[in-house]
Amino acid sequence: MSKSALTQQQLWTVAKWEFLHFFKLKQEIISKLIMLAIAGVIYLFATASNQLEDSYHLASNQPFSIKTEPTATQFKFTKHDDLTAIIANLAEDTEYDGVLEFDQATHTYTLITAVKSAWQTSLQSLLTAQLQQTQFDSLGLSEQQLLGLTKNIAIEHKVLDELLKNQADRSQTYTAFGVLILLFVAMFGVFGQLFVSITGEKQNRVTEQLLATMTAQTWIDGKLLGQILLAVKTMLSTLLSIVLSMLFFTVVIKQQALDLHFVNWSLLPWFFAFAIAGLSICAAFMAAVAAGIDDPNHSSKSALMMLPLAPIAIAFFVIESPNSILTIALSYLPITAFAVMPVRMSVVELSFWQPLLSLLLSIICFYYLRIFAARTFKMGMNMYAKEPSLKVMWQSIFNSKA
Amino acid sequence: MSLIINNLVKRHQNVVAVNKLSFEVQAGEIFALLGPNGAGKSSLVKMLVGFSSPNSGSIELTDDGHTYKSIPAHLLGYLPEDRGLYPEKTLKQNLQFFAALHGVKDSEFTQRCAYWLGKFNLTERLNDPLKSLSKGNQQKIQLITAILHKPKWVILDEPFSGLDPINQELVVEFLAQLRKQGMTVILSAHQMAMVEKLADRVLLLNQGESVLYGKLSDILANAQSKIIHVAFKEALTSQTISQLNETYCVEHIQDHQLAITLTEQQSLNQLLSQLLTIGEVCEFKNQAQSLHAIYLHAVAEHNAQRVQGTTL
Repeated sequence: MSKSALTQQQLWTVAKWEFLHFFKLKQEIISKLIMLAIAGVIYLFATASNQLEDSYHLASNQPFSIKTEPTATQFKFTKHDDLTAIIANLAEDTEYDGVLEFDQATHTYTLITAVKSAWQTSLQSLLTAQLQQTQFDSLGLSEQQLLGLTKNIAIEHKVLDELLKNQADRSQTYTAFGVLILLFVAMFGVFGQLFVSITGEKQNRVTEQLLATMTAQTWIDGKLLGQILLAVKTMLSTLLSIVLSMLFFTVVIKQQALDLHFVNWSLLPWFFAFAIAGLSICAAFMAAVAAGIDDPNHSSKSALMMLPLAPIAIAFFVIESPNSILTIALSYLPITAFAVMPVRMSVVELSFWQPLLSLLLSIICFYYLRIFAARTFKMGMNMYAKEPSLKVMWQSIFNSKA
Repeated sequence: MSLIINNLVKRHQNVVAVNKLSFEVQAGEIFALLGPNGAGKSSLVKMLVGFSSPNSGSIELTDDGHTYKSIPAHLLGYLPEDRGLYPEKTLKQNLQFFAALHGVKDSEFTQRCAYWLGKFNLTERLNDPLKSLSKGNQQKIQLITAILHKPKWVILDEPFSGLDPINQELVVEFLAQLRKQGMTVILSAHQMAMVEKLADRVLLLNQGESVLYGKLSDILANAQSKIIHVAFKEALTSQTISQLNETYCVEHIQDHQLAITLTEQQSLNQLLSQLLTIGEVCEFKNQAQSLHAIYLHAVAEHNAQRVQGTTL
């Protein structure tokens, strides 16, 4: 086997080892089954609470029907001149679920039920809509007047800054922030896993054995690859869970169509590319810090590992001024670009080369950070149970060779 | 194929760990690195495997027309002093991982794994987590990890530590088998009895310097000729022994028996003449010396020389 082929094999062996060390198929299946079980319980509960596809029979002192489809078919009204007996027997009565009483004097409706249940809320809103319509009808309004009364008043916001997109609408950033939140979830996983993995191997005294088989660089690269794949898996499975939950609540429970209009499909590939670049940079940074830690219980460097989360927090603030010099600078700075550039792209018209340049800078940054991580690791390994200071770690970037 | 170390120096800040060390390891032999704690063995091993670089001097390994400045990973099997594997993983997972890192194919792995586990009576434990094994058995797995890919060069740092006498013998057999398979073994150890059984050549280090270096058989033969066991017909007085001690290194074994160590400048004839002036000699013979005794003597002598050098 040639040297480069062996290095490739070692890289994938370490990545696979790292991935499978933290990816437990059995646990994944169990967690998904738990989700399904919870969904099933919710569905059963909703059905048991007569929320879904049940019909309700109400007694009323005047002829009544609900015109709005399709929910209206749930409710059937029967006229009775004397409701007193029905009201008195409501608790035991199996024929009527409630009584709708109309007061001619005050023009008000009263809904009387034996117990409180979810269907009564939807009936109330249907009644409100219908009575409002009846009121409009009784006024004898023209169609134009009626339209004027019922139309929602929308205020369109136009911004004169030519760089901004047509609307200064925050909903444009939902996709970017959605991806950032997924990234945030994945990043937390990477934090813990890389820390446990690198310091754990040091504690288990396995590092010398490993480095007798491959270079520190191959080892770090394999670890990073495994962790990035794990993070992508976390992002995708979290996304899948969110989409399935939305589908379940919208389509199954509410029986409505799923509305995904807020997703910015054209920018989505860019956002994922930036997310993976950000993951890589942060993972390489964390690997470098973890490589410099000898004893995880007594190291002050552990706090440094939280640093890569800062750019995600920054992204929430820059949205207020997407064209300020600071925001522009942060959207190209590799350690913040993965969070800031997607948010900027959502609200500012950018040329193709701008996000591309930002992405390239991020990739270059990742390339050097992983070298830094490998050098720190090799230097720390030869320090004989001493932990390298930040100054020594910095010097190792330029001095040693992994 | 040989490993030539020339004038090697390694400093850790102000401490000289290895001082102007030169030696050669020949292909196919078992080469023992001996020395007390802090002698510089680990520093030397780390340079040999390429974990650290020397401050001066050179390491030169020639193999198949290539020259290397340390033993490259593809030729090396290494058992570090500071050792461990993945305790939560099974024996198979641990062995397979390291075999894959060395490019061993799955079919070869299965075959070799079965062979070595059988040798160490661990076949039944293949799917057990490593942490469920005793410390000694874990060490055997670590040894298998180091050689499963059939390396040309094997460096074993303290392979006998933590093992009971029966398992130490198993490791001796294991090392002999490696030599039989054509591997070159460099081992660092404190168990002189084990080294004496195995090593072809030894290098004794003390305070980073070479104290004794050469073929083990030559070293033992040379030491044998230097220690003389003498028995007198009558008991010796302490005054007589003191007089002898002025010229020779004398150990008083019993009332009428002595063990005398000669330096290279002292001759047997001179000694015999002097002994005859003391009393009637009834026994005069070379005493066989163990590697352990040679080791202690050589280190003590080297320490004394260094103290003398410092004082002067």
